[in-house]
Amino acid sequence: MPEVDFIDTQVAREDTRTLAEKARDRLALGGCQVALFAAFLVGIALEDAILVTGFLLFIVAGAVGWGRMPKLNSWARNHLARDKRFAQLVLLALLVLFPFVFLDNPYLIHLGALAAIFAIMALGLNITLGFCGLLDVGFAVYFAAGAYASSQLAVIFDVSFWIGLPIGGLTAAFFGFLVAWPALRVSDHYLALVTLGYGLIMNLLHRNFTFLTHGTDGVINIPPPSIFGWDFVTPIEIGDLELPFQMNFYFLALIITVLTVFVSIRLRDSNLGRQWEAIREDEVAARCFGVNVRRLKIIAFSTGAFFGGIGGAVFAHMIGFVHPDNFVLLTSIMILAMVIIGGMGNIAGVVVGAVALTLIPERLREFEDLRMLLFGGALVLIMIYRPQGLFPNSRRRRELQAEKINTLIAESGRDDAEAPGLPDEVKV
Amino acid sequence: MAADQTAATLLASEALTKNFGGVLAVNDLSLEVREGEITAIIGPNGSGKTTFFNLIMHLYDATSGQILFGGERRNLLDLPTHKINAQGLARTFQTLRLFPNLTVLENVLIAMSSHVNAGFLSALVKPKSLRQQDKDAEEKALETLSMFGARLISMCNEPASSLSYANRRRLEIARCVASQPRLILLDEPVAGMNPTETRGVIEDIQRIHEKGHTVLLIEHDMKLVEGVAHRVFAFDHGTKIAEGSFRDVSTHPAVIEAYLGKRAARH
Repeated sequence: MPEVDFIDTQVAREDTRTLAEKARDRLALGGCQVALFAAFLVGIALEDAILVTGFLLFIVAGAVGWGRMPKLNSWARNHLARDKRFAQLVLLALLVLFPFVFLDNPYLIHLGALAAIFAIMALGLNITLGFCGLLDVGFAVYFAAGAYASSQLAVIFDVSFWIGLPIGGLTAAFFGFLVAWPALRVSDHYLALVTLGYGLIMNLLHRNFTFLTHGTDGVINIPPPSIFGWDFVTPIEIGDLELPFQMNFYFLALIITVLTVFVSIRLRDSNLGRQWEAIREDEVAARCFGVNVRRLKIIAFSTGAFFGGIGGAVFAHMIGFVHPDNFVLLTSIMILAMVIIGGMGNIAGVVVGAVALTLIPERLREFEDLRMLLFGGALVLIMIYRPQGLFPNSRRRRELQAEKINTLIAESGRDDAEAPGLPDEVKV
Repeated sequence: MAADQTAATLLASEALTKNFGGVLAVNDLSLEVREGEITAIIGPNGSGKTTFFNLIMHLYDATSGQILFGGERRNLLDLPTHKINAQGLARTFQTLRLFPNLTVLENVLIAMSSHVNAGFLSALVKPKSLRQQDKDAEEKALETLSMFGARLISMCNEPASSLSYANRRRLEIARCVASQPRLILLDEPVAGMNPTETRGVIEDIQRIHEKGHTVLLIEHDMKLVEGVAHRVFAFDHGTKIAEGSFRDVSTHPAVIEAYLGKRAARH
């Protein structure tokens, strides 16, 4: 399991900054965010092969360098922790702004939507792998379950996307449950192998259960989502400006991603999340302290799968076509790589990982045959220099009151002769 | 230290046997742990002490026999491991088993909250009652940590892996106490500790005992056993070879033989 590193925050208690200081801090923080975002925009807009390579190297160097500069690291983290709400708002604003920058290049907006869909799925796998420590190498199964369920409901039974979406998620959760039930007798590498086999078998079924999946013909003519008669492939017009219809899908995927992030945070901070982490840390100890390991593992598996299915449903209705080739082993491995490269257990990291691993291969298309070679090379470099991922899992520190702790120590009435000198103020 | 002869039996092992593919790790073991006492198990390595603990927590299935707990004499071997803590048992591990990447406080919180409210909906909605519950749990956890003075509580927001070795052992004990058990099982609580630290642990065990917990411990450190135990069981080859006060057991011929061989026992 990855080393977890701890955020240095003296946060919490009171914000003693003056208004001017606050404004200055926020300006600096927002400035950094905008600058990074601008660099990102330039990066994905690049067309020239040499420039793309240069940019890729820049990213790898940045990722490696970031880990080598602990001071800068903790500076950024402290700023982020202090003005968390503000940073979140700026980020959201930038994400909303994104498609408007590329009004004349709808393909990039489409890529943005695709990145968001993969972020939803990676966040799902993050629950299984990052929180609970269960290695699932067959995640494409849930992607497929969501995609097939919602698209076939729409194609055959004319069911609305908005009903198909949750059903797609639940179908995927069921497929997660289906493998978790028997597979959780084994753990670690063995579990990875079982899920690997599951992914391979299911992909064969996608190809051969033609009555359900239309086999290699794929499901075609999947209707786009619609609200009150307006469907998502009709561009919105504001005055003379016609917004590309890809934007509709981009915002749909973005909203679902934000919801998924919210659910992930709530789960992580809950009693349930803590018990998942206990299982990840030491299963035997968790069991001895009353954690129903088997039940919680199955919940983790199914919850992760649910988000895989949600991603699948959105994907199917956006692309309009579902084919077994979408759900091969490589897909599972890419989603796994998003979680590992982003940083297992770190929600923001996983989203960044998903965006990077969706966009980089696309931008490398200029290289044709060399594409996967370069991509693989970048992965190797990152894993050598950042084995814990771009953003290692970080623990949320609790906001505790120093006075109360000091009183408790005093009341305990222990004079610890051999204890190291007590800090004047207890670190909280 | 006079053992209270009238105390009720809290834990009883009856004809307990565990066979690991032909090796009898525990062999027809019958013993009784009395409520309110500190009981120690001694014995050479491989005599089945830790296996006995693992059977109590139902980490292993017994080959035969029963482990009965409490007034209602519930057979622990009928319960899955995760339900045993709620019955009123908690244990430490010889090789430490903390949750290394969770904070010291969270390590304790797990022990307190595992049987309540792991619900999905409540995690998403986060109702007010739950928030209050969390806060109360946090306070109680801090109180438990304060049992060890400043040592643990001053580190409560640090990962358990950052604690010193002795403090990790203390955290294991704190985690047990936090789950409010009737019986605490300590597996070699002072293994690897220096004499000063050992004295500290002796005090800690007595403190736990005063709080009303019954303690069953495995220990090789005879100073500790002599210092705290009301009653001692000696194990050899998976079975109980002697029982009584420390003095009785430590001079018992069978015990001397188990530790030092037949020749020493004759003298």
